[in-house]
Amino acid sequence: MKIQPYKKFFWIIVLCFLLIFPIIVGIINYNKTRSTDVLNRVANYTMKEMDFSFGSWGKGIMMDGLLHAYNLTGNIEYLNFVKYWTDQSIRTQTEDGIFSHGETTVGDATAIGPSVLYFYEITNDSYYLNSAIRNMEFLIKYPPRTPEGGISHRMPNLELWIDTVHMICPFLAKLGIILNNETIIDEAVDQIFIHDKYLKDNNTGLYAHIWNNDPSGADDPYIWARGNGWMTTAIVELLTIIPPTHDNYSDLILLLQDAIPKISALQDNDTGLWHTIMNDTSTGLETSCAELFSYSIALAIDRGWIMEAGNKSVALKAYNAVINMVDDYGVVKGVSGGTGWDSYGAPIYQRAISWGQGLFPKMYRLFQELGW
Amino acid sequence: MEKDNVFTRLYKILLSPRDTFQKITKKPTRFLIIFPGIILLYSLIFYFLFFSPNIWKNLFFIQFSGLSLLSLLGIFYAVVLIFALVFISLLLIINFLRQMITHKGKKKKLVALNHYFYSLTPFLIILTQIPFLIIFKGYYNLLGLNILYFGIFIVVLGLHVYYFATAVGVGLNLSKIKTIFIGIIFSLLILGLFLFLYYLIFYSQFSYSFLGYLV
Repeated sequence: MKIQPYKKFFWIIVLCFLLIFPIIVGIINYNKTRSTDVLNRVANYTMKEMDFSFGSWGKGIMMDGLLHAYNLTGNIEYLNFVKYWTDQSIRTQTEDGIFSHGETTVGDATAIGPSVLYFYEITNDSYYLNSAIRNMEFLIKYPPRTPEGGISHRMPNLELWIDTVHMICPFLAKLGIILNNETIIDEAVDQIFIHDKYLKDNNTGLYAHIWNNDPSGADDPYIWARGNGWMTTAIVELLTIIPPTHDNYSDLILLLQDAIPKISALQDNDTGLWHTIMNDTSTGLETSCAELFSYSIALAIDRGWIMEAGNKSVALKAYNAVINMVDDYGVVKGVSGGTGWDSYGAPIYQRAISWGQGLFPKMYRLFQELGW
Repeated sequence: MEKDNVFTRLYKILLSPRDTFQKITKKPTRFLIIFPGIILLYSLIFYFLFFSPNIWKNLFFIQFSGLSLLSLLGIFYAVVLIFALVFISLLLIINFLRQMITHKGKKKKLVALNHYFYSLTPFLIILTQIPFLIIFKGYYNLLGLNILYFGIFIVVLGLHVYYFATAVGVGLNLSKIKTIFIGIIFSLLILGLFLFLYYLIFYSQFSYSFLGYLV
C-alpha cells in the first residue's frame, strides 16, 4: 500500500499542533492559571474544613461562593459538593419551608436559595423549584411585617436587619423571574426600599444594622460595614436579575449612587479595608465587607450604574487587600464573627469564617472576568 | 514484509483509509482485541467530555453528587460500557437487517465490528490533549481555548463518521454516493443521540434527585 508522504507530513503537523498549541497558551497565561490557585485554595479549604451540616446564612454564602468557583474554573468537584449540600438542605427543609433544619432566623437560611435555583436552572428538575417555592411561601406568609410590608429578620419580634436584604431579595427576584411572577419580583424590590427607609442613618447616609419595633427592645444604630456590604450587594444583584424596564430599576441605581461615594470615603487608605463600624476607626479592620464592597462597586462600574473614575481604584484596592488576607491554606483572614448588638468590639478572627470564605470566590470571579 | 497488527492498522487508517479497510475486511482483528479496544477508545472521548472543565459535565456528572472518585470512575466506565454495548448491538442489528433485506450473503459480524472499531481511530487524536488536561487542568474556558476544544470534538466525530462510512462502503462495495448517504445517516444518528440526551436531562422532568440519597 503506497502512502502519500504528504499525508504523513500533514498528520504529523496537525498532531504536533494540537499537542503543543494549548500548552504554549497555558505557559503564556501561566499567571492566569496560577492565580486561580488562590481561588482553589479558598474553595478547597471551604469544602474540606467548614461545617455545612446545618443551616445558616454562612452555609448559603459558602455554597454560592463554591458555585462561582465552579463557574470560573469548571472544576466539577465544586459543583458536586454544592449539589450534595443543596440536596441535603432540601432534604432537611422544615414543614414551614425553611432550608436546612430551620435552626436560624427568618431569612438567613434563604441564603441557600440561590443554590437551589441554580440547580433548578441547570437540571430543570421540579424538585428544586418546589423547594424554592416552599421557602418563598414561608417568607411571604409567616414573618411579622412593618406596615409597609418590611419582612422581619426574626420571629415573633418585628425587627428589620440589614442582613435580610441580601439573604432574601436576590432569591425572591430570581424565583419571580423563573415563575414569571411580578408580585414576587416586586416583593424583592420593595424590601430594599423598606429597609432603606427604616435603616438609613440620616447623619451618615449609610445603613444601620437593626431597627426594632419594640420600643423597649434594642436598636442597633451602628454603621456596620458588612451590613452596608449586604445592602450594596443585594442592590447590584437585584439589578442584574430584574428587567431594566422594572418601575423601580432606576430608583435602585439611585440608592447605589448615593451609598457608594459615602462608602468609598471611609475606606482605610493604608490597607484598603474598612473598619467594622465604618465611622469608628477604633474598631478593627474587617475583610468580608471589603469582599462585598469591591464586588458591588466593580459590578456597578461594569454595568454603567456608577462612574469608573474614582470608584475603580477603591474596588481594586479592596480586592487586592482581600487577596492579601488569604493565607497559604486558603483561610480568608480578618473576618468578623456573627454580629449583633454591641458585639463590634469582639476580636476580628484570623480563623476561617463561613461568610468570609464564601464571599471570596464571588468577588474573585468577577474581577477575573472583568480582567481587572 | 509489512507489519500488520492493530497498531499499524490504527496508524494506516489515518493515511490510507480505503486500502486499510479493505485489508481489515479480508482479515479482521480478533474480537478479544476489538471489544476492549472499543471500550478504551470510548473512554478517551468520554474523558475529554467529562473530566476536563467544560459545559458537558453539566449534562451528566452533576447528578452524581458527593460520590468518591473511585465510585465516579466506576460510574464513568459503566456509562462507557453501556454506550459501547448499545452501539455494537445497533451495529449487529443493522447488519442482520441488511442480510435479511438484501440477501447478499453473510457479512461476518466480526468484520462489522472491526469496521466500527477502526472508525474510532480519530478518537486517538484526544491523546494530544492529555498533557494539557493534566498540566493545566483542562482550563480551555479560562484560557480562551473553547474554539479549540469544540473544534477537536467536532473534527474527531466528523472523521469517525467519515471512516465508518468509508468502511461500510468498502465492505459492501458501495458507490461513492451510497457511501456518502451512509455517512449522513450515521451523522444523524449521533446528532439524534445528543439531542435525545439533551431532551432527557433538560426537558423530560425526570427527577435524578434520588441520587442524592446515595450519599
